[in-house]
Amino acid sequence: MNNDAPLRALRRPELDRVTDVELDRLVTRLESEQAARAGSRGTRRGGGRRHVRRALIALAMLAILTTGTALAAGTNPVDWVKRTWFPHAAVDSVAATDDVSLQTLNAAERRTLRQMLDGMPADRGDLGPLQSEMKPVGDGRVLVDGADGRVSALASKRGDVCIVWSKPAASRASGGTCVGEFPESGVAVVAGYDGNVAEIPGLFADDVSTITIETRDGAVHDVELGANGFIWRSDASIGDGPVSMRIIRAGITYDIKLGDPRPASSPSTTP
Amino acid sequence: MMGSPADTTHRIDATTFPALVRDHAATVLRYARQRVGADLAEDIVSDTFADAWRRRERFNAHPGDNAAAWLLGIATFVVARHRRAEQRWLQMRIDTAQLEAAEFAIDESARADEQLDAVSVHARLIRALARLPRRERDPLLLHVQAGLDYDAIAEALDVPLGTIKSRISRGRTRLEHAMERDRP
Repeated sequence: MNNDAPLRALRRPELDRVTDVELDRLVTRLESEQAARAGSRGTRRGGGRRHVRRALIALAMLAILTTGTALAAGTNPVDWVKRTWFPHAAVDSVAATDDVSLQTLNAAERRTLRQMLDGMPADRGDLGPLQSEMKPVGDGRVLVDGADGRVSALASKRGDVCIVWSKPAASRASGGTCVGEFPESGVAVVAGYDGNVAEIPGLFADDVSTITIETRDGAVHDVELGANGFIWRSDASIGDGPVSMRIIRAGITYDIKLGDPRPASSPSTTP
Repeated sequence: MMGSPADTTHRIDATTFPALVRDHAATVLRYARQRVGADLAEDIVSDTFADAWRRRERFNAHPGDNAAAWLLGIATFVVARHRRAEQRWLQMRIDTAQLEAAEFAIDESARADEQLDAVSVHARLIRALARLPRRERDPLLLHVQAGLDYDAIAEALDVPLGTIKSRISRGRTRLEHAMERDRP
């Protein structure tokens, strides 16, 4: 296949035809959306609708972990994390406390990973499906491994970076998400809530200097940054649950709305 | 190839953004349709311009950059957020080609064999494309579907030119091998 001729079949000519009516309608929509953006506060935040969606998704993620089951990303949680991306070299560039492979993942982590990857049965105990999806030993890194649990990043053969978080062994809880590329903010997180304590494990890029989390009581908490990974826990009850995350990356500040982890309440989700 | 389309956008701000939309919405829409189908394409375009607005300072910091290529690069990242939709679209194209192949297979007209070969090749091509790693699929489709040349693709994806060339080359080879393995 030395020229483009065989590949031209990948382009369907009929899809290239855009009528004036279609274009006018699209431009009107884009102008309307832009007017809404320009009228909202802050330049790095999306419109209100997007914030509502993001917050609701965060809420869904938090609620899922309430049961202590594995968090199956691949639908909304992935969309939540996948906002704006850069080309995926994340796993290669991160520091690590240790390598991790499919064999060294614990059962909960493997279960989570299987659920995160599209189309995989969740109940199979063998490593076969994972081995066909994930890159081999050496492409995974443990980013955090401590009393609050473990955060690992593994690369899939499709080019995704999968973040797998597991709580200490006794709880058997695990969560995660796979991201095709890394957020512009330089931080990808998985949020968790066990009924009392909210937890936000995540992965961050080298040039992220500061991450803070604001809780409902208005307090701002510094996130302790490890080797490209972190696990933040709310100190006490969920009454002080996280509402937003501020990230400073290469001198630029990014604000991310986290939503309210309490299933019964729904505070304002607009900026 | 689109290498350097006529482009008058040198800076993005509130006054120039409407012109950016008018000048490039159709280009981004065509590309989005090719990547994910018509149903989702307008949402992809919407997210692309939303991201473009958020990232405008990055564009403004590089006055020589080509706005069309830059937008198509953003659209490519937006498509990446819709991996399942993209895979569904590719599967639909495979299914369509296979249905056509089945019809030609029972057709006894003179051109049926020739048409059967064509749709079979097409199905194998799309199937191979669906399995291609994103790092190779994206530049390849920016080239084939959006008509960007290698320089523009490198700019669009913010990846060195040499890397783009090798990814496209590897992608082509991988497609060829996958189609060969898939041959009935």
